[in-house]
Amino acid sequence: MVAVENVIVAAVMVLALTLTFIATLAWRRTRDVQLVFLGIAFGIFFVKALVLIAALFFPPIALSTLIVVWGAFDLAILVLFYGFTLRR
Amino acid sequence: MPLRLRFLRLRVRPWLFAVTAASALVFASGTAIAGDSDGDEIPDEIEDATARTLDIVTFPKPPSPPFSLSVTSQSVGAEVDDKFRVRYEEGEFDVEYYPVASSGRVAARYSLEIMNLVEWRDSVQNGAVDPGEVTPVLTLGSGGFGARPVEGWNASSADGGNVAGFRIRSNDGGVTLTLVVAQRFLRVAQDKILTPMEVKLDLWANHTLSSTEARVGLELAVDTDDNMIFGGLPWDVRNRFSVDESWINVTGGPAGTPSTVFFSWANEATVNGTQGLTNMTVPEGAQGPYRMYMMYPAGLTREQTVYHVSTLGVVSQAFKDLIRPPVPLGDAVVFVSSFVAVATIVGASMILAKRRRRKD
Amino acid sequence: MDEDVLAVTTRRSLYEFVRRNPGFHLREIARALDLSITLADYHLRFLEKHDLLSATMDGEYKRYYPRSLPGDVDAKPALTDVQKRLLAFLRQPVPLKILAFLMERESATHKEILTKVPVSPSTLSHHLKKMHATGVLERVEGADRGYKVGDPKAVARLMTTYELATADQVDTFIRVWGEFRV
Repeated sequence: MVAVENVIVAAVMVLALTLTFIATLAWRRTRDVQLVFLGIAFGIFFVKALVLIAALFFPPIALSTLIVVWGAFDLAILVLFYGFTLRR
Repeated sequence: MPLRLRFLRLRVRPWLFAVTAASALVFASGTAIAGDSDGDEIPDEIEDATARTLDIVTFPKPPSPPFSLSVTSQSVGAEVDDKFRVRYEEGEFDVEYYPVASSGRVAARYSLEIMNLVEWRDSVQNGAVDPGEVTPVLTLGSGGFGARPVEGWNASSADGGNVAGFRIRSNDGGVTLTLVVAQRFLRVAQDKILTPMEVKLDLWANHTLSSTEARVGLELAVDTDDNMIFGGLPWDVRNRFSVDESWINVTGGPAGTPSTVFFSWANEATVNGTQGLTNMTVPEGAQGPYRMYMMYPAGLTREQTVYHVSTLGVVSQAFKDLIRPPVPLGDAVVFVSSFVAVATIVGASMILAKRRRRKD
Repeated sequence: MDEDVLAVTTRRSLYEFVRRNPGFHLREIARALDLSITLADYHLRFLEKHDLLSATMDGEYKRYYPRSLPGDVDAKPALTDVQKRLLAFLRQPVPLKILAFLMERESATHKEILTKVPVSPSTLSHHLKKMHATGVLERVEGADRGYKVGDPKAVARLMTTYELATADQVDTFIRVWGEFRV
């Protein structure tokens, strides 16, 4: 089923956007700078979904390139999450 | 509003829902792990997509024993199905490729005649076949084949594909050729998978050398009107269907969409059970027929039994089309409606959660 | 809902009622807000103690009046820095619970606070430290080291006057991610 990629990416975008928004509200409420990094992490999820949508609508992108790009995004997200756990 | 209240009273553990949903998504979105039911290291998916139909005709028709044969193999399910045909008669093979099966137009072809069994004595000890070093010892070709009928057999491969084979003996019995063709990929040796786009040609030769310094060889004649190239990486090796082979390839058809047919052979042959390197000479002649010599490795005794594997095949455009994974396409309607649907679900869940908190 | 936070919201309702209806006595106030006499009396005494209400005896009835000036019933005076910091804490659910708990007592230890505030010990320490650093809480030294509210009157006034934290999705996010630490 070709169209299922579109469904999944749409769902990722909505959830990532929602979590970025919630993280922003949380930061505004607490003024805890660390929450900014969480917000950025979820924002990167959203950007990653944007890149994937671009790949779907404007092929061809080499699979190896796509894997490198996704991997870089995942790494950035995980670094931010891990950094968050190290806070005082 | 009873429905809504009932929903609110539903005890849904959020974490359990999240874990279940996430697991379902991972399973659903993951591509199916390739199955390989016959263990030939070609995924079933690819085997199913690239299986071809086989049409075998022998001549003369029964009840007379057959002396010549024609194998026609056609792709199934490609955007444009292609076809190739291998014919045999009296020691000569013809390979033709039809890029569009329905058109009946041949884009590339060659013929391969097994002319003579020869002995080669490397008198200069330079490893090269020099003039005067080769002596024909057994006439093959139309003179050496044709007295014995062709023996055919059929079998089913492990995954249910049809496999057809033929045994062709020289008149004196000294040389036996075995042809094998399969509908689906078939592993025929540890280092070789027979693709549906080719016919395997095994050679057995029994010969007593005139001297232990000589080596058994075959004199071959390849004829084509198309462009022939000797050397380079064979298609089967490039695609990891076999290893350690060499080839000649013949390319013809329109310049924009050339078609290629080929004859490839293993770089090693077995002499009296021992493997050794073969030596194929560069084709001679400004135009076809091109003379080539396949020299087999030296043995320890004068009585020699030689076994060598070669392939008559085509580079199938239909195969390339069939194995290319579909490029995922963005579907604006599906994307937008999914976005709206998920946004609605997320929004609704936020509202329900808020109401539940107010009730607490 | 948490008892102490409930206490805060009940007091808000009482203060609002008295502000709009000065001069009512205990029984009338309790009946109007559907509270038991005992509970209404308890909370009104608290408000009186923290100078948010005044009470006068009128024969056999004790009547309650708001402390703010008559002309400024709806005015909210400009906040000082201290008040702003306090308010910031009151708008966060976990610090609100801590303050609501401590307002009912002279002081409490970390362990005692933990029984009422549903977070991990390290998260509670983090909040207590922050509130102590900003002066909202003071340390209590001695046999039972703990914390107490620095300026209970100021806290009480802000609690009754301003919007406080509501437990919502963002609060859950803060609480959950607050636990996400090494």
